[in-house]
Amino acid sequence: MAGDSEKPSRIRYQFLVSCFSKRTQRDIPSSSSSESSNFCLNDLQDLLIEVFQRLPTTKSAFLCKCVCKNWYSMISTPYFACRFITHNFNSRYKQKPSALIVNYINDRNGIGLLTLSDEPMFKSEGFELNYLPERNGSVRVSAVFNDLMVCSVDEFGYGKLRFYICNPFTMQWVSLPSLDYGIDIVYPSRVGFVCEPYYFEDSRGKCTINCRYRFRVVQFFYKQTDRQLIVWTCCSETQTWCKSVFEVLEYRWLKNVVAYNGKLLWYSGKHVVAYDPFNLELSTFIDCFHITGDSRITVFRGVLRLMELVDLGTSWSLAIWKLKDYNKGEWSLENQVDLHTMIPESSLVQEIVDDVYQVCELLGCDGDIVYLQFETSVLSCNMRTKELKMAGKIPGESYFYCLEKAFHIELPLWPTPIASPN
Amino acid sequence: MASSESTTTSTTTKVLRLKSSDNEIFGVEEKAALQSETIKSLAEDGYSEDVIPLFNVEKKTLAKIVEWLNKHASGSSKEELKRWDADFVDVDKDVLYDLLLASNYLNIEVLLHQLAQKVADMIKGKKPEEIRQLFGIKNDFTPEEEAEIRRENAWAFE
Repeated sequence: MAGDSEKPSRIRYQFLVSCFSKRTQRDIPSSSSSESSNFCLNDLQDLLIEVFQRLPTTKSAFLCKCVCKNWYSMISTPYFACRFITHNFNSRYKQKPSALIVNYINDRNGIGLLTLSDEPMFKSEGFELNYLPERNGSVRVSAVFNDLMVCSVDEFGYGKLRFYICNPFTMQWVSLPSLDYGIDIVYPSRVGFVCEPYYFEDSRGKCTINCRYRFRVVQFFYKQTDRQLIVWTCCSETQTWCKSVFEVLEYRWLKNVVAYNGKLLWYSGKHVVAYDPFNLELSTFIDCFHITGDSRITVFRGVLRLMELVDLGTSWSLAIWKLKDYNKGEWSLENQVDLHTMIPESSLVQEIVDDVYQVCELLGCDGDIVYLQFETSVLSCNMRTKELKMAGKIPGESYFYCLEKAFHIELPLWPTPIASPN
Repeated sequence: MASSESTTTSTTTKVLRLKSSDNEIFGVEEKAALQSETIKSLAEDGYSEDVIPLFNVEKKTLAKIVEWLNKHASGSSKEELKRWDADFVDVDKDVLYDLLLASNYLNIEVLLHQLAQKVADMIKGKKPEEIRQLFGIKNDFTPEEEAEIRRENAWAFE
């Protein structure tokens, strides 16, 4: 190494040392004062983020916001959310905890919400929806995307619907403009909800935060007299509702709606139709003529799936179909199980399945688990392990005329914040 | 981590001499010492022949740091290191604080992460008032602000 190049670097180093030692006088405790505590975390500003991102849960990070102003502002930034997610992306939550939530009619003739999950976060107060302005049991969950729920209230007979978007984990919520659809001979049907994710991870585990995520809430209507599909779309940027009418050849029962790659897929039992709520366009039709039983679509890890329940007379058969190729619209059978060949966890579960007079209904699907409803009992069927378990009891009636009953909700690494309207 | 890249040309084990702020000199094998990015850059700057002055680290802290550097360069098994590290960070909070400052200044990433994890574990499961007490943090919210922030984050208290 040349002597010339050595000199400047020493000078640089000595400069750094002198700067640092000045700080040292103040910051570093001298050994004589070791009796009293010198631990002052707020002096370690740069290290605080390293500490906070290692907190075991999002909840404990939010709790730390209440310690002091410095902590509050650090933990409130999207930058911190990004650090926390990146740190935890690989170490925890390989599979996000999730739950099935079910709307039901309680004994006071109001709407209740049942959450089926072992994870305590899903038992939190936020699922009781008491923080929304309507407290009289008229609010129902109409659609879910990640950790956000669209809740709606139908003012029956007035041709008016009110909508809220809420995060049940943080209990943040916002109301959408109400939808005056008029007292035409239309009936509100399913609701679709597409939202840009608040955060996403790339393949290297790097996280990007999308603070100004856009969303669309879509209310489908059906008209009994003709083959028109009426769609109202609410845009997050303009906060307005926009009406579109589509002529459809076959408008059968709208079984369910799921969000898939920024589109809403609506399933009729014979076809899957894609609606792009950002461009108000109907696109791809996928045939599902192979389906004979009760069925609905679901998205799992980015793959569109169809679950099917076939009444075999003395038993039930459950099947999961996977869409092999979205463009070609080809389905492949992923798994098929006869309910009677499954392993019931108790004699009670066995009795429910054996009762041929019980009506069985598909509620939802979460990975390998398919939820079936037998009157007020909800059973979880693990298609892989063949375990059949009691998932919960619906504490009331569960029939909802043409409305979606059950949804799948996820606990993300960081809750999606809901900005209050300006 | 950083030890794989050595700046020496000789094959014999080289010992770097580190001097604490209170003038205690510690001899550390280069391989161990270079886990510190700060020492590494000082050594690259030509300090390796002289004593490397670490003005920000007292001897009692530097002794602990040297202990850590040696252990992590000793080729111990992963399991053993894990046990050893758990004991190493199990210290009172003043020592922990000094170690945090020192590992930050010396830029020893692995150690810094272990210490940060230790502090996070100390925070875990505690209420804000307990956290303030533990770390001597002043509550600088007005009662109104605190009530508002608690309301806003009520879910975290459940």
